[in-house]
Amino acid sequence: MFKWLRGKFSNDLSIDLGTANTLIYVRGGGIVLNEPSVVAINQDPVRGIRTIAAVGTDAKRMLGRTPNNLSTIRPMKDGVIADFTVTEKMLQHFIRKVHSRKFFNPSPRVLISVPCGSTQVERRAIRESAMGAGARVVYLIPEPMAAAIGAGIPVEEARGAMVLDIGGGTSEVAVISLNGIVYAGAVRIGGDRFDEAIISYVRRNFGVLIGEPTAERIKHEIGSAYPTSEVREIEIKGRNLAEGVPRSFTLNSNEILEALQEPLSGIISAVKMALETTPPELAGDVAERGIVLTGGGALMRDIDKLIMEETGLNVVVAEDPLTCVARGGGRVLELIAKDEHAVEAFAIE
Amino acid sequence: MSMSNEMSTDFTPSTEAPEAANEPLGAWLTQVRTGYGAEQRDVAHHLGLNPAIIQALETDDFARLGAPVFVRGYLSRYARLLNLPEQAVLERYRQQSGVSQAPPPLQVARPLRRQTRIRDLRGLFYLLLVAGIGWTAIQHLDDLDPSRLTALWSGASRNGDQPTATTAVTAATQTQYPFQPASELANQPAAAPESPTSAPQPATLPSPPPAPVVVTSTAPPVQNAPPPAPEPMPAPSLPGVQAATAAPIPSSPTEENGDNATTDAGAKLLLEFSGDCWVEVKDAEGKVLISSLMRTDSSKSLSGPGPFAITLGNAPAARLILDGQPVDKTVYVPRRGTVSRFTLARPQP
Repeated sequence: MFKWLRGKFSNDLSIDLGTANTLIYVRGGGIVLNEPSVVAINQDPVRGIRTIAAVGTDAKRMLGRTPNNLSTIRPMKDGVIADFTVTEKMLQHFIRKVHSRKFFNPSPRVLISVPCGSTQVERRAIRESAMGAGARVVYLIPEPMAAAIGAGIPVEEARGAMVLDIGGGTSEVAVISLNGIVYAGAVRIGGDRFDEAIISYVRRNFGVLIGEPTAERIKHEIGSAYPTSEVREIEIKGRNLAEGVPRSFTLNSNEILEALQEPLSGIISAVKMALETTPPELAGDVAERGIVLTGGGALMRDIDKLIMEETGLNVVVAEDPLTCVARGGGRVLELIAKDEHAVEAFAIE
Repeated sequence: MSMSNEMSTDFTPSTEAPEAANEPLGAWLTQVRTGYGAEQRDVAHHLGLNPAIIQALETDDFARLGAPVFVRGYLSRYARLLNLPEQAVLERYRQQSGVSQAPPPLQVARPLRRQTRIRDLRGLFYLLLVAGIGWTAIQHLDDLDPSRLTALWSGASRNGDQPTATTAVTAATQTQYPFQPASELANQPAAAPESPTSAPQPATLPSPPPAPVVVTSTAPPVQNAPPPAPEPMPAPSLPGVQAATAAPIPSSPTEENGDNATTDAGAKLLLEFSGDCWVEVKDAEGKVLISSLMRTDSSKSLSGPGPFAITLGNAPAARLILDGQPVDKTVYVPRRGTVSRFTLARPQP
């Protein structure tokens, strides 16, 4: 109720509702929030009532370290909502956090990026979740389009550009021309699958069980997508499955490269499939300009080299690839604020 | 996944890369490349790029390379190959090319939208034109009403044939029908003497048979124009008219004696109302017989010298009975609105 009035006191938001991280761009203010998409829930053992204990960074610190009454949830999975209620609460928390006005509950216009491979049901869930969190109007934009705009690709040109967005839950590849998506493909492989692959590799080869945060740390520090002469090492601790006690051991970058072969192959296959399906004129443009990498996965060492080697095309890592989607959404919001008809472009729903 | 091609030039750093003093970026790159003893085509082969791109980078011709995102990608990879500090190269590029952090605003072309709007406006114009023509036609519809014209013609022709059997009722509603006013009616010749008790003789009357309720026009041309019609039009087949024809109201003794041809001494008027109606009745002498609001299902009986000047606020709800004969409603119920002003006189046999 009174959403219109409250909207007058709210700033438009572009939200990159990612599997791993949620980023919020405020129109006219830039990126104002970058927190993990994690929610800690406290369950009253007597009454059975569930309450939100922490959201974002605070909740991520609790990941894997919670007592019985607490549980940490990642409400997004594979780029879409896995737990509707918790997602709504998380969005509500983030939206209130980025609004300085406390007198009114904010009711902003929100632009949310969604995976291009998501179904209508999944998109509707995201829209309803944002509406439930207080949004006045919800626009949905495909993630590759937002990523391309955020990377600075001139999407309005009559020239094809290929963008590969490697996120936490999905990797999406799209060919963009004239403010529209010519081809889009998505695979449910992303940073989470990299972590799972590392956990699985360590368990299989070292007989040690490690948690998700540890796997993520390994990925960030020594993860590599292409073999190099420089070998980096990291010492980690986990629970030895045979002895049942914690043990410390050392992993090197070549081992992690081996562990990541399977998910990386899936991404390469998606890129090759996109190149095969792209119309010839646009394929020529892509061959000339190359592929632009965005998303957190683009930060993996030498992933551009791997894709270049596999496809034979030039590969460019966008500036600040983690925030490309949120920044691209923000630029679209700026345009919508000036011209309402912009919602008809950029494949916005 | 295949490995990289064998390099023809060794780019392993033997010494510290020379610092860029104040020389242009292209010159700096060229200097470092020649330090390795490599040609442009060697670098292009290593990076998988067109040699023209390397040439453009070394001549600072960045405009040829498209959007800044692609130029940054080329420079980043070139810097890594030459073991130059990536950030320093990119910063030099920013300073040199004047590329700001903010990308250019998005553009959405909408040329066809405007044409559609013009078409819409054209349709609206046609709609207004048709509505205007229709409104004008409705405004003049009363003048063209066939029943009124028929009644007018009938009354006029009867006046011409038998001036003594003058019409008894004239009506002038607020819609300004071309009815004959009471003053003109009073100037008409008196009716021929006739036995008050004798029944009307339709056979003696010219065709069409006289209707007890006839409306004559106030318009002078219509009043005076019609000559005796060779084939007079039949009387309007209105219910009231037919009833009156079958049983005409006998003329009063006063009229019979020819004392006053235009007054009906002792005429009895019964007013019945099916709804609330304001009513005012004046007799021939101008005496107000009634001037009040009559309620639903009420009636009022009046008597006095006719003709009566009657004003009805809600004419459709009123039923008039003059000397036991109901007066045809079509005479006094207006076509639009509810207020009716007319003069009612006892019909001449």
